[in-house]
Amino acid sequence: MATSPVIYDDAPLRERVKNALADDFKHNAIKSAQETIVGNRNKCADANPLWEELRWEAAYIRNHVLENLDYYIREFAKNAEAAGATVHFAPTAEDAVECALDIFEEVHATRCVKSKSMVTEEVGLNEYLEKHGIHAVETDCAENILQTAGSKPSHIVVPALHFNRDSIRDLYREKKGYTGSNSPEEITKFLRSNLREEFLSAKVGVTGCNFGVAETGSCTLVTNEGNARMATTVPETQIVMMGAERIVPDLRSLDTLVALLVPSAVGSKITSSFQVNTGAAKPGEADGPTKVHIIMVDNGRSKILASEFRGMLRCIRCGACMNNCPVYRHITGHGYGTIYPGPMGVVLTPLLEGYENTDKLPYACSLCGACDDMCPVRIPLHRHIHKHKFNLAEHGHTSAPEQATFDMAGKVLSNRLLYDIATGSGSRGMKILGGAYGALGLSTSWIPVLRGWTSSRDMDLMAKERFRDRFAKRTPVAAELDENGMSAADRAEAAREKAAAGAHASVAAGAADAAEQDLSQEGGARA
Amino acid sequence: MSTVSLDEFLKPFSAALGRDEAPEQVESIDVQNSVQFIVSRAMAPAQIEEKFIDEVKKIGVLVKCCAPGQEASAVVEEVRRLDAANRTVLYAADAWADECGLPAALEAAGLDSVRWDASKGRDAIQEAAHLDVGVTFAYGAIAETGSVVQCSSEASGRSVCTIPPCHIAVVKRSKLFARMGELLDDLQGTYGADMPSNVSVISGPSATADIELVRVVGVHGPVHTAVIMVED
Repeated sequence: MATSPVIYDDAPLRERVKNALADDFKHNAIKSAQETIVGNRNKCADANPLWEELRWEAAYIRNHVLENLDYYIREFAKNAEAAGATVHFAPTAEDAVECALDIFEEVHATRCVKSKSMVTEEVGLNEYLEKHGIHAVETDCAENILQTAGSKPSHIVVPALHFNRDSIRDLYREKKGYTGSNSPEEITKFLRSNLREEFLSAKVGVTGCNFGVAETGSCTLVTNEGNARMATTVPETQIVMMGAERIVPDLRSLDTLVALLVPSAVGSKITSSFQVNTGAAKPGEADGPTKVHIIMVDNGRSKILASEFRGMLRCIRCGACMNNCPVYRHITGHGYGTIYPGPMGVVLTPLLEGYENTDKLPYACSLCGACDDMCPVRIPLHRHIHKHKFNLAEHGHTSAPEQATFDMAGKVLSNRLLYDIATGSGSRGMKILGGAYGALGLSTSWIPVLRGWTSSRDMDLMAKERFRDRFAKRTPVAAELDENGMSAADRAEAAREKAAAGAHASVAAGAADAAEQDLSQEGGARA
Repeated sequence: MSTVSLDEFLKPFSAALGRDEAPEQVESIDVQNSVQFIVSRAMAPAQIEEKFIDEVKKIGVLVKCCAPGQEASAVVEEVRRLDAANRTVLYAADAWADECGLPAALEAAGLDSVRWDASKGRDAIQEAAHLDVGVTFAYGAIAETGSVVQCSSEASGRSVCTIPPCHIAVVKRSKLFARMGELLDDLQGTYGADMPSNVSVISGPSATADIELVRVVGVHGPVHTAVIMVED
């Protein structure tokens, strides 16, 4: 793996997983977050008798947009401009950040307030601006903690879960002169007053966009802390960065998507603020941005649209998939090493960064499909991940030992003699390795290849006797024969033949059924 | 600028969809009968109001119903519940404010108040930062989520309901809708293509759960919120 704005940790998957597993606070925090959010999400879903239908409707809306994405991008851009916004089109991440920098230079701003946005993280906006002397202040509580600590997100919606209250207190004491206690209320109050000055003096506000509405050219924001409201109220210039696929056709579709997004993301019906911003402030309005720049970002999306992974573009970044993922539960966002963690990240990251840069990421998945059950837009995530695994093997991205193992397995399994030798001697070999423990466990983790499994799990020993050896030695149990010397199986066969030969169909069928019943009893008795 | 023209930007998207350029028309999406409306249409007006009151309370918002003409005194009553030191009011310069006699009622109660004055330009924002209570007249309300919906305008700046630590919204019973979809339909009927620059669906005080998932009320937006529903 190579680092990029999307990939923040280029250590091998194995190492990242090991580190995450060793941090009890971190994975327990993720575990309780999963339980809380999924629990509340399920309450919302259960309270809505049409929840599942709503998910179909949302998938339909998102598919409809993707199938006509060129049309909808143009509609959205046209209507946003008609409402007074300026729309910029950035084919790549570099184009997007350069475009933002140009806007800062145009208005001579060196600071901005920013509300949480995944696409700005994806293109590496903050780092790029910083390099050019512009400081973007993250105003979302969790993002501010990460920014102050120089840390990376462990979750897509609540990204600072890996910090406990003591470490957050210490962080603000050291970096921002905080003098209070570790109580979340007191720390939050501090952030309110600390960031208020930033808001009130901000010339530029940077936000993302949950959904662009094609019909009206509006950009919408779903937030809880009120920071996005401040960032779209005070500054005279607003920069909205959005993935080009994040469009809904009209306000009705918006309603459906928001009704699913919020419960799926945070387990409540709605967040404290949901804004629909259309164009710039109207003449005469004293607040709100007088200039709105919308930067639409492709950055690989058109390629995904052309690929077998098109369905992934339905994603609305709610994080429900990771909240239900057993792998994420243990390895946390840091195990993935990318800003998009969990199942959606496993699908998306290789598409954005290429297989050659994403190491074994698709292997951080057991293909259980729990993510699919949660996805509000019904993305078949685990199928996409399976496809990634397939592509990795197909395109030779697997490691040398793994390839050697499977080459060997292929040879052994397709050769009778080799197979006999392997299965015959395998059991003896394993018995020696397993020793008194009775299974291949941690003690065998010094053996290359085998360690991949046994360093964290036991492998059962092979049976002393192979099934086919046992089968060959079996004592056949005589089937019960009737007065004609026929077994139940013979009778069933005879009845069928009779039916086929044109005997009265129902009688024959009845006979066959009866005989079949005998057969199953016979089988049952034998077992 | 390293950005490209719309046409240039669209090319790879059109190519991905197997065509040379974006079509002029596409088959329109069929969400006129969204499943969302099935539940809301089945609700009787009394149920909708009951639901609204329930939901508003659940999200920690004070709610009070009053007869038409009583909204100014209801606002004054709410303001007086606050600490004596934190009672300065900023109210939207909405025609409704004058119709219900809010300025006079605030003065009669001895409360310091400021009328939102867009002619002050951006200074109006800074002024809002020194005031305690924002009073707005909402476009409407949503029962399912206990929300009030605020549209920005010259008379009613975004700051009024965003910057002061306390927000009181006055809303008409006749503008209460079962769900957001119905309210958005109504909004579109009112404004057509000329949407307000900002429509805020506000559901309770600002909040966060970013530190150890502990819910804390009052972050950057209002800390206390109240709704006064006029039974028109």
